[in-house]
Amino acid sequence: MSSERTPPEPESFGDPPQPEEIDLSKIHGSILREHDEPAEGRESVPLWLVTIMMALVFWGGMYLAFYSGGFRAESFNPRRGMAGGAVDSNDPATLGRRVFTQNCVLCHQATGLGVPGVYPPLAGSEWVLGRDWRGDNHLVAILLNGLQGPVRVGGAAFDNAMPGWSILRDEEIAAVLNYIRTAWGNTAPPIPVEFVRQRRGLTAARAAPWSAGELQAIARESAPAPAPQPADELPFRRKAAR
Amino acid sequence: MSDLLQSLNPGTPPDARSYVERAEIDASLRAPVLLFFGTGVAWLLLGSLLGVLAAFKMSFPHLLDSADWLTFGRVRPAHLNIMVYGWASAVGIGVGIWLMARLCRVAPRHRGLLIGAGIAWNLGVLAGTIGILAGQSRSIEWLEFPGWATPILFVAYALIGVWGVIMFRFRRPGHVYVSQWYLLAAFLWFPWLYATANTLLIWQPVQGSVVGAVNWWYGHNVLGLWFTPIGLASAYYMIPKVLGRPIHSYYLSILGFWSLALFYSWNGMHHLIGGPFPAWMISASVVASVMMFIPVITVAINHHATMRGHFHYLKWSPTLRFTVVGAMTYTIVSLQGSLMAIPSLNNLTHFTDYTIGHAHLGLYGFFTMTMFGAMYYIVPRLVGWEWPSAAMIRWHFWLAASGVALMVGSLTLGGFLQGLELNDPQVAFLTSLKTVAPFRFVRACSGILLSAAHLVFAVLFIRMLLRQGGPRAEATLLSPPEIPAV
Repeated sequence: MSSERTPPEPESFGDPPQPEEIDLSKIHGSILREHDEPAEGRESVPLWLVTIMMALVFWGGMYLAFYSGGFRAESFNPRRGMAGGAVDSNDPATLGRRVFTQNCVLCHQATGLGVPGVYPPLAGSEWVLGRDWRGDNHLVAILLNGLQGPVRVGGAAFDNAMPGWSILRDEEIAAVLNYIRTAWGNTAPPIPVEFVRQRRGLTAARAAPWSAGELQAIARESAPAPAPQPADELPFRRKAAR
Repeated sequence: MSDLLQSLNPGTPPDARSYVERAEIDASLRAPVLLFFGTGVAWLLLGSLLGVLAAFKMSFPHLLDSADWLTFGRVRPAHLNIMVYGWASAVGIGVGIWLMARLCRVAPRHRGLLIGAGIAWNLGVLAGTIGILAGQSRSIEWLEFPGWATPILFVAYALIGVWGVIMFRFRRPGHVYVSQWYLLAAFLWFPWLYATANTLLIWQPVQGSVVGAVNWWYGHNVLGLWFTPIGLASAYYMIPKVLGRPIHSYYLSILGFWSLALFYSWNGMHHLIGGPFPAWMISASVVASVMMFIPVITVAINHHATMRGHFHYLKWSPTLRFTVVGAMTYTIVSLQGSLMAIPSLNNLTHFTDYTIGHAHLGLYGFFTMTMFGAMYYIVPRLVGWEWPSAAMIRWHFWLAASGVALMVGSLTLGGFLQGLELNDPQVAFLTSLKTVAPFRFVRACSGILLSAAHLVFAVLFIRMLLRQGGPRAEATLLSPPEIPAV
């Protein structure tokens, strides 16, 4: 058995006839004319090439040190190097801006002014800033389940439907709310992630969007001031742990 | 006996044994290699036609747009896929299996595998092309063939890969030449690339931006880990073979091969600079792209030092002229590609015609020219006939060389101006299109030159198969040599 597995001697392939038996006139001239199969010389690698290689390797290491984003999956900014401090996405302001650009900007516009008569503004909106009877709980509720039907914002009337965004994670909802509460001249205190999580638990059974009237019937609640986040409890770590 | 040899070609060592060996290898590979070459040339003609049509549609949008299958969105991917799989891969396989057998110095076994693979390969390309023209393109660049065509191509490829490994396994003992490393690697790399891309994009598709990452990992690696090793294997063989001198340095060969293997598969992400990807992916790709300086310079030194003092051979030898032009273009296009990966330059060239010029310089200026060179060497040995017309070879060379120079020149300059205007917020987008329009027209005209070159070559190839032009005692050279031909 084992002898069958060893490759046969090369001579057994094709069994080339002995030179005396060959009719060379049958072999085409191009084959007779050609040189032997190529061989390789043994010249050494030139020193200048070694120098260039070492310079390139040094440059490559430096480039990665400065522009690798610390090799973190959540870092999208090449300017953040190994020693680049906080990672962009864990910075709530960056996350909030990104969530807004990806989901909200089509209707509410980059200016936060919405489209008159169609989409309400966020800039200076009493709903966003939590004026009068409106509290943080109302704003979170709108984000989670949406808002449908007639509503007055900034003295103008709107009648449209906003879908709920419960698909977003609590961290993303908190981040985008804090973004719209501090952008375009808005100034309102941040809403902590814990508050969003608590409200989501309370309204988990509800699927339909709210109406303005329904919301007004709910008492105003304010979120507690956020506790400082410990470093190992950053949003993306938590996502990875799930 | 040795008297007869001496009289046939004075100066040749009377090693009848090696003649028989070569004649046997060539005879046993005649059918499969000519199958790949012949169908490849046919696809080349069709691909050229579609390419020229797509190029003129950029200048005349309503040209031939009455039928769905002639619209730009179908003609352009059909052109790309025919050129990549129908022409370049097929001729690359033909050259690759011939080189592998010659360097293993053993008459190949299992010719049926190769012929079956050749037929399946062409059926796969045909099915895929019909699929694209019928509107079933998958709209993933370089992988537009519909999902029901790709398994045929994969099976065909797997047969060739298996044959290559068997060939190498039963080689005659002795030194393994650098071309064999490249060919064996290419035979293993391509099925890996093709299976990975098809699995992750079609059968078990990934979601979101990862699609882009897989797509360009594949697209760039087809160039770097499939066409590049075959092209380099061919150049590494043809240059010393025609000159009858050893390649300059074994150590440079090692360095060039392993640095290519180490760095190339990281390169694809440089197509995604500015895209929604973690910074390290892009930056690692930028570094690996610049590191490609190492294999490119190494191979360039090795080829140039082998050629040094023998450049006058380019006046005579068709093989050497095509191969050396291709090898020099390899150096140029690779250094250009490394520079294009640097983000500050990429800002200018990304999304412009400059990139398209670069792609054609690589796949045509380097790979296709190298393959033409190899075919000029291989086909006479398979057919047992010399090329029927030196004038037609000259026409082929100058039409192809001027065509690709004009194409790359117009796309590069036009793309450069386009990039400047795209980056200038004061300039309207429409203005950048008007700037690039005349360059696109010139580029379309250059396609006519290339198509003419291919037509000349196709006619020459058919005349060769028909053994026209009368028997010749010597090789067909581009011009009468001033010294005796070797």
